[in-house]
Amino acid sequence: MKKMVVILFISCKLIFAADFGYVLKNVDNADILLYKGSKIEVVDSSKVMLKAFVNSKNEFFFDKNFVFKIGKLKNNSLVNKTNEYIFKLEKDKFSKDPLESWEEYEELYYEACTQCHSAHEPVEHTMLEWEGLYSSMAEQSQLDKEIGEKVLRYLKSHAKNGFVTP
Amino acid sequence: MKVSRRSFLKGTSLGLGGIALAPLSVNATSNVLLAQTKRIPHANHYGPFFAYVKDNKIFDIVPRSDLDKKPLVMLQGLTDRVETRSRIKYPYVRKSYLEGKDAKSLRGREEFVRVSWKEALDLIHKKIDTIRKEDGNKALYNASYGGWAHPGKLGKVNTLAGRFFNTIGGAVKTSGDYSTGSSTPVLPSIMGNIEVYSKQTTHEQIVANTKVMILWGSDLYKTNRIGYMVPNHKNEEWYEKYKKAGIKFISIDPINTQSAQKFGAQWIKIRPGSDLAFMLGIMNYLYKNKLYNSDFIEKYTVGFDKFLPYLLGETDGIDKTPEWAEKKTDVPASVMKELAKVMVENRTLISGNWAIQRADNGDQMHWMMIVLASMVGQIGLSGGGFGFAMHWAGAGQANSMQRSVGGLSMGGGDKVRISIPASRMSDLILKPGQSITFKGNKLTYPKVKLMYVAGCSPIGHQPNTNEILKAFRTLETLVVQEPWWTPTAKMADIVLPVTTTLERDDITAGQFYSQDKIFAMQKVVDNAYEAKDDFWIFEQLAERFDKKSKFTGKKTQMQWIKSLYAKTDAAKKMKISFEDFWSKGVVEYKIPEAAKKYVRHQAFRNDPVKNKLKTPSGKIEIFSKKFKDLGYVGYPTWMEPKEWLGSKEVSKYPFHMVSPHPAYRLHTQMDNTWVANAFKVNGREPVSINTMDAKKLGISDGDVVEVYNARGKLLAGAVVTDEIRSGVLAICEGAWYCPQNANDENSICVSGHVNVLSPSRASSSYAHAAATNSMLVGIKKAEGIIPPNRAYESPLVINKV
Ligand code: HEC
Repeated sequence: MKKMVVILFISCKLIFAADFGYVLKNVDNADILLYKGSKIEVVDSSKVMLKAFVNSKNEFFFDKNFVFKIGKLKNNSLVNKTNEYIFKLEKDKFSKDPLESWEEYEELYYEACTQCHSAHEPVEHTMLEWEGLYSSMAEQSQLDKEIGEKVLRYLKSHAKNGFVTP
Repeated sequence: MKVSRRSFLKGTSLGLGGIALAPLSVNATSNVLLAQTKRIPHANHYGPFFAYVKDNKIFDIVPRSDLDKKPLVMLQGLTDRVETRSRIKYPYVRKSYLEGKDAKSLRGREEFVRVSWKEALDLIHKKIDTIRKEDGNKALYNASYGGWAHPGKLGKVNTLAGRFFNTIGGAVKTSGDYSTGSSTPVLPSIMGNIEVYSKQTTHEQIVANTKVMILWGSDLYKTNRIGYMVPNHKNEEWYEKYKKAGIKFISIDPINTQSAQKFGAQWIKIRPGSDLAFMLGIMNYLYKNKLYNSDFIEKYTVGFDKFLPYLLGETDGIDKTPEWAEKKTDVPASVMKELAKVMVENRTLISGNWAIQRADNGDQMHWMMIVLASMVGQIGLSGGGFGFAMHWAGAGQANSMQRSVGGLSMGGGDKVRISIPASRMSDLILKPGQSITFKGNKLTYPKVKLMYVAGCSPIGHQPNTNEILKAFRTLETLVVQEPWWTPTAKMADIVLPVTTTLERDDITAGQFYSQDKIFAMQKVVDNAYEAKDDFWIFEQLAERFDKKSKFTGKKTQMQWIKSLYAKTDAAKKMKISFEDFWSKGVVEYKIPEAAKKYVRHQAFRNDPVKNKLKTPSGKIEIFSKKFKDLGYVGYPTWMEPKEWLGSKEVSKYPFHMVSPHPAYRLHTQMDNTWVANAFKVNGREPVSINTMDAKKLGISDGDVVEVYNARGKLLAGAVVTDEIRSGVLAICEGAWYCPQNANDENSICVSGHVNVLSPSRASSSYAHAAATNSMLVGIKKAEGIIPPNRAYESPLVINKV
């Protein structure tokens, strides 16, 4: 397991001052897949950074236990010696407000998971616990797989040890 | 809809069985009658059926024997339930409340005044609005719980209530349940799965491979009768195959249950509350005699090394031998040793029920059972290991792997974000400001002023009835939305009359596990009196807060039903039109062969690296660092229950009372019908007592007896039997509470509602769940004039408008 730093260059200047931002839409191109909602650190007005753990399949994870996947490196030639990957990112692709980035999945969560009981706060459980709880519930909740994955991403991101704190 | 005479006669074996033998002229008359009768498909918790209706009257209820292998007699109580005199006919307000007097203590003690729907809804709106402005939404308590009132995916009442409250910013709500509240918060950390509601090994695999099945409190025949949605009773056919396959059954239970008797099980008459000791005794024996599966422990579990010193008494000086366990369990050590051998020598499936964890230290039960099953080493083998849901919702039936029908959701919008553990209802109301650590997180009870109950009866399910009555009498407002004058409705300030499932259209699914069908629940008769649908009521309330379209999603009820159907595989893949589905009343899914091969935990067993469990170690956590870090031992241990036959209180209250599920109603539902009534003894709930115990106390079968402890007392009808062990009594939960004199504090309940006696204390400081099965009582023959049971009558109402 390697800890990697992914540097994302922003093609235009950032207009907001913040330490963090959240990717607004899936970034999916020949070089990289980066999931909507992923948290990035702002380095300066033209550079943001994503720290991630990478497994043998070149998938990025938020945590060292590989519970929360946030993307995948598709083009290996982009790796430099210091284990940095460098990509370009449009500035309108992220926001400093987590809600803006996560709202859609939050709604899917409420829609899917409040049919039988009221919503459990994502922060009640760890990311790993959410995997277990989700798989216990998925059998019963008549979810399609794609929506289910989004719901689980929402729960993990807002989990006790996730990266969005309420 | 036309019915052929043949199909009618075929279907009426339970309804109008005698008609085929009637003389010709009667047949001719019945044909005429029949021609005027509409046949309407409907389905609910008791099964699928056709209702025959003429002039808005239910003429007959005929089970759909093509879809239901063993129709329940409870279906025959449905007409009674629609027409009963316990129906709430109009909106009512408690007299003093209507007059604006602060007479909380008169709840359940004075008459109700009929009001118009507009008056009632305006009053609720005004009250909620004022409280929100003055104290915030956290002073509102939405106690609508469980969703058992209505199996419809649209009419699911707790969901509708949650949805309404979320449109206005939320309310204090409920987390977890009364059924499995001790295990659900623990097992995800031990097994990476909730287990108690999860898919079970299929019947096909059990029949082919299981040699021994341990019914650890499980009463498979009884509790699989009703469904969370619509039961098909196929399990009973499978149980016949279990018998034919020669599976040996062993029942560990203070009661020789219906299932134990039908399976011809060996009955181990365990002392209630001693199950942990029993398991330890077996494990100690397995270890010392090197009978346990050390390879399994090594490969699939973590923490056995930490548990072992405890098992052998190195940590506390108590070696947990079968001889030690004998003193706790009243089961001879030889029986434990024999069972230990049987388990490891045969493919053994432990069917663990939920009642054992509705007790003191309940959160240790399934965890310990998992440790035992790990030592036996058959988890993940076909027909072996454990299953904690075999007794529920047709478990064992293979899954259709198709999308059946989902439901409405409560949606977002809750800004209160306070969920109390389900069984902490009295604490919430009586102890504002008190903090507890629930599932490791701090929770402080807010001060709630208004409690809203739709579609459930807390006086039925909340332990310690006298305590909850006291709590209700401290609230500012109690709103109850119900079809019937339940004991809870009688305590309300504002009562809203609701339609039954037979008075509205809805859609629902088949069995919980098999997802084998989609059912149309067509409206059978018009709403009785002024009863309204829950959806309509919440829509009206939402409108008063300007939130109508958020609540309705801009759809009518029928539009919702159609849109829920549109998402099913029946509509999408099988291309069955809604109209076609609706008129037939059902769509059936085929069960694929692959699904019949399902074995719980098999994937993990086959490849524990690739299919690791969702636990921190990826394995079964005999020791859990999470619990250790929270200040607990970290592995399951024996702790003396606070109340059991080993307590010193036995000198005063010498019997252990258990409160199993009823066979002829669903919790409190149907208790107001002739069906449940047929099983009462002397007009009240039966209490089972061992023959020898009864003899000592001079109690005869059929006697009215008084059962009592420091929390309350009740009258019940004695059933003297050898099928319950000495020292234990059983009253099924769900009888409607009825005080002899509502004006008395702690009045005797003349109906036999067992929660009058049960403790409300939390099962553990982690789970805070119900511990109802840890209760001691005394019993004696009732003396003097026996008061009548008026549980099913309406209170005094003033009907002037
Ligand atoms: C078909 C009904 C149903 C649906 C849909 C459903 N659940 Fe559950 N869930 C249950 C039941 C039943 C329980 C156990 C009783 C309880 O805790 O209410 C439960 C319990 C839980 C618990 C509590 C575990 C504990 O610690 O006590 C969590 C968390 C949970 N569900 C999450 C979810 C999530 C996330 C979803 C959406 C993917 C979901 N549920 C959808 C039925 C459902």
